[in-house]
Amino acid sequence: MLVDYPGPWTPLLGRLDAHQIPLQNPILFWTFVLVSLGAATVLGAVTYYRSWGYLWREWLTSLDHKRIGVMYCLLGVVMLFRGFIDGVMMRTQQVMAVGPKSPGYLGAVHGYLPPYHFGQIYSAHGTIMILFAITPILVGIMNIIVPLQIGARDMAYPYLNAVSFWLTAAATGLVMISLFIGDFSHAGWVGLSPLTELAYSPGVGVDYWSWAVQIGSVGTTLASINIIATIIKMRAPGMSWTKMPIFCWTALSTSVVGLSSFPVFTAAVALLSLDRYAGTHFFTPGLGGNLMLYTDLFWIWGHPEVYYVVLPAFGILSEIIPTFSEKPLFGYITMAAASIAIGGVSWSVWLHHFFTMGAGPGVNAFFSIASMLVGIPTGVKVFNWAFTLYRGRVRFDVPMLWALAALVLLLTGGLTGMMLAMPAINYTVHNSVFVVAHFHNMLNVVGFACFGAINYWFPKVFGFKLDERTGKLAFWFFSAGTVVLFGSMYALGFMGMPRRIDYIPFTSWRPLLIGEEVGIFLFLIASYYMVKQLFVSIRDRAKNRVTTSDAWGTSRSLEWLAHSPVPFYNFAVQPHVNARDEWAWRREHGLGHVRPDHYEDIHLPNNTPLPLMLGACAFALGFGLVWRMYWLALVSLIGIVIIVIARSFQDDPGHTLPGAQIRQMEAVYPDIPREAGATGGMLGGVVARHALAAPRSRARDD
Amino acid sequence: MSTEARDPLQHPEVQLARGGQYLGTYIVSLLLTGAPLWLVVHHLGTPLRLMIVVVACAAALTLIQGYFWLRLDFSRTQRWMTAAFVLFIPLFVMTIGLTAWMFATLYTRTMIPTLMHAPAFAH
Repeated sequence: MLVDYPGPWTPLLGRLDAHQIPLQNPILFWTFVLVSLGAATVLGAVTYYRSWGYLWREWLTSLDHKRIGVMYCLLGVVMLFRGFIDGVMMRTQQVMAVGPKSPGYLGAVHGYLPPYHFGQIYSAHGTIMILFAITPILVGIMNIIVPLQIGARDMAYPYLNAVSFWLTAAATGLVMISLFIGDFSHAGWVGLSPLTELAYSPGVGVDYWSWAVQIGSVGTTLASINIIATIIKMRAPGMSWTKMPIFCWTALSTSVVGLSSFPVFTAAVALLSLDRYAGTHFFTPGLGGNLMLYTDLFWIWGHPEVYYVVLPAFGILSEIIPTFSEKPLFGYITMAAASIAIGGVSWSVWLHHFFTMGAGPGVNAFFSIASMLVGIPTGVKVFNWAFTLYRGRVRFDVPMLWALAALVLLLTGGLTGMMLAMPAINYTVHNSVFVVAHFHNMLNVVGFACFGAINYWFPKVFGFKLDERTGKLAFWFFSAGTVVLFGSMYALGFMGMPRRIDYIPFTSWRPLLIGEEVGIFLFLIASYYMVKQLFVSIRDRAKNRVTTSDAWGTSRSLEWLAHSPVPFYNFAVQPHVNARDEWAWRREHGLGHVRPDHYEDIHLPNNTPLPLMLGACAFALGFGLVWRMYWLALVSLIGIVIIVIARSFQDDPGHTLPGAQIRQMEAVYPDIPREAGATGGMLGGVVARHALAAPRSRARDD
Repeated sequence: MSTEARDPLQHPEVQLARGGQYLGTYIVSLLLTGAPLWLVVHHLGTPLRLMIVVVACAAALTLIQGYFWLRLDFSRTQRWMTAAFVLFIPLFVMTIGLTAWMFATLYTRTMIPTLMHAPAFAH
């Protein structure tokens, strides 16, 4: 049943042998040295400060949604840096390999990267940036913020939440280890078919890619289920659908998109794996298979994935812009409807990724119109943000700078998207770097929103603000880099430069390629300032500490009611929601913080190492399958089954935090008054009771 | 804390579980998956007939698993699952329908369908 492939195989190590460790490649060798030194430093520091116990208790085994969210973000940021370095290498190769007289280094005829290595780098860059950087950062932000915004103590399924994270981490580990053991796919992040078939890619690179994305997709699908269940079932009393913050609407829409699309991707890549391992012919042309079916299945997931990442970004902008305009969001209902509409339309546009494949004009016309329809709800959102800004008291704090720049990028990315939705234009620029510039433009919208979100919610999670000065420097250098790099790339696309080329035959393109290199150098400077911002902020955390729950003074939604940093139980008493912008409503009515007359016990889940163990087994399963160490794959699979069964029989009712203990912990917060408010005997109903007496604000509440 | 939160076995969804039905459905699922696979592997039938058999088995599996495994009905416990399943139908129709339409027009322009299964290609 199993197919033949070239090269040796042993029962113990499968296809793995010493030659698979690329010590002869100086780039990878020195990367390995640097990574080893970095890892040794981190592990040494943890050991020196005797923090292993803390790390195990508070992070690795934690089921707290905030901790898991922070780990998601940390993972995403590390991978963002890795993907960025890949981008630097690609830009540098292209600017060095222009024209037949350009010199070659390190074994390359032109530039310093041979085509096969270049292919791996662009494949890793795309896969990492979309699936292992942006996606984890957004899932992390949703993990932290959604339960707080709806007044919940945790996600609906805390255990599943940890499983989702550790599966994502396992997949990320596979991508990272491919740097030093074997190689990575050279078939693009999309898995260009039939290049991914065993006949054309007999190495382990495609296997690393396929198992990493399959494991990661399972994690993301589970995360989507969790967010949907949390939003539907865990909203605080009084939070009707029309009082739910817009970020939660976008999280809901994006999770529905994720839940319905990621399984298609998992299935498509699973079929590809069957082709590579079991000798089936799902995507092999001429043997009953259809390679175009892979492209179709991939983009059935691939385009909804675009909205999967852009919708939370829209939600983030919808939170930041009102806060720093000191106004409620304009057009709440249309904003919520547009979020759902974008998710709905996302399912009917995927074919515009392969207009040139040769389908009939009716088909292309249908998908062209459907693609343009996305512009309507997106346009609604842009106008709503503009009207929110209109006559607002606009402040240019760092989160707002990122948000405003994201709006500008959305305009250019959206308009070029409209161009690409037209088959006639699409035929002209298909597979050119114009397309690459367009989707980098759109993903920069997401990136800018993420940077804005990190600056915006950092004080909520860690209790101190990020440094403004270095933050602004990072923003301006990053913005300048975006304009210079992708402006040059758009122009090169118009000039006909194809994507994914390691050698540039036309010297007339050199000035714009230099422009791209300058742009990425500006990104490098921005990265320096981002790291410096973090360093300075931690160093000066006492100075930047926020003493109230509302770090910005003009925030609006419910998460700003919780203390900064948010305690592990989130809210001492479950809040009763009175208005759409609950925190703004409470602030305006003088009900910001009212001490309840008594606290009730809080039930919380216990920590468990099982999700971490599941992740470790998933990593070993993937690694075993990549190298065809079938014993390792089998042992890991059995391990997963045993852990799942063991968990099913585990009688773990969680633990209870007594009300008296909560009272003690709450006493340290200076913004909680010492005297209890009049509650009328209603626990957590302090505000509800005041709400009955306070004048209703129709503008906030209808 | 509700009763089912203290004792997971009291949860209404868990109460719907029936070991015998699960096992029976599992065996039927194996048969309905294995039979089309066997037919396809041994090329028993024309491509059209094989496709009809595969689609029919898939449809039967969907109904059987939906009822006996997922317990889709309109009870208070299960209505969210039923709603999720119903909401999935338009997506399914859209993706499969539009894909079929795309391939129907694509084949006439890029390849001759009958040739795809001709002996000349079966090297």
